[in-house]
Amino acid sequence: MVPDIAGKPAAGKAESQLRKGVLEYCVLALLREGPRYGVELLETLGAVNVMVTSQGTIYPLLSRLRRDGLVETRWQESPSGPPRRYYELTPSGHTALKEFTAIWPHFREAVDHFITD
Amino acid sequence: MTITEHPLAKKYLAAVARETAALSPERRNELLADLEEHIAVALVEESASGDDEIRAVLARLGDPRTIAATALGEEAAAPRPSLARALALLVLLAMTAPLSMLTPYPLLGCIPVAGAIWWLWTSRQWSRRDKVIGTVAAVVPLLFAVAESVAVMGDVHLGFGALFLPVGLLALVLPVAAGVYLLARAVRRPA
Repeated sequence: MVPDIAGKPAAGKAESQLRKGVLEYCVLALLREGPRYGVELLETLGAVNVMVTSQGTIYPLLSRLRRDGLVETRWQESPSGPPRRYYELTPSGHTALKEFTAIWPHFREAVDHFITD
Repeated sequence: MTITEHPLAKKYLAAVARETAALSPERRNELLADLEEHIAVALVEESASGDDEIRAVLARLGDPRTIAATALGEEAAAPRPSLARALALLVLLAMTAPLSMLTPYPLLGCIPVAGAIWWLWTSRQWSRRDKVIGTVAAVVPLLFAVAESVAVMGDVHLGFGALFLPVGLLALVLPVAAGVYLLARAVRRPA
């Protein structure tokens, strides 16, 4: 039996909607410094609780980023275990990340502005 | 036995396969391969192979239904590759050879060549490899024409000689062939 950890009741609709919007930019940001493979990305994302509740969902996301031309992938042998599929930012990926980085502070401020009294 | 042939892993992957039946085969196989790699890599990195450890890795991966739902959502969300853009590229590429090679002014060919390259590299719908193929194909007729005219002007015998016809014909059809190939790539890639 596979326990259903994705169904954490605390992870409400708002949280999952927010995650849907920003997760890909967090992934792009993690790739800024160089290529990484899936498990590596998930270890870093998992260090912050809210980002990934169900690790497997990152792969469809990575697949879309690749199809959108924001990341490229290549296989690399590893001294232990199977070859890893590495993800790397493309120039479009760098641009998308830069755009998001510029928008985000305004967005955060605007939300703060409305929700705090 | 590799770790992904372990009954627990197999059962998990089979569940994902079942839940993603509606996904295109290409997308589905990619997802299954990614998950399979994940399981193997995660276990190697933890130096683990016991049942409980496999269960823990699978639990962190999450419910196959959740993963399937995300995959189906991403498939629908992906932008359709633009057929119009691919057709326009084909037209630009088709113009490169005649303008470069069949006019008295080969440098006229620079216009569609520059256009095709710009059109290719500002698009997200082709992979880098395809973009390189398109760029090379666009430039070849121009290079051929320039090389020929330089050889003629300088009255040096560095022309293509007996190879003129085959190389010339190849340079003529190459951009169109690349254009058709890039069009096919755009059509075949499902949204």
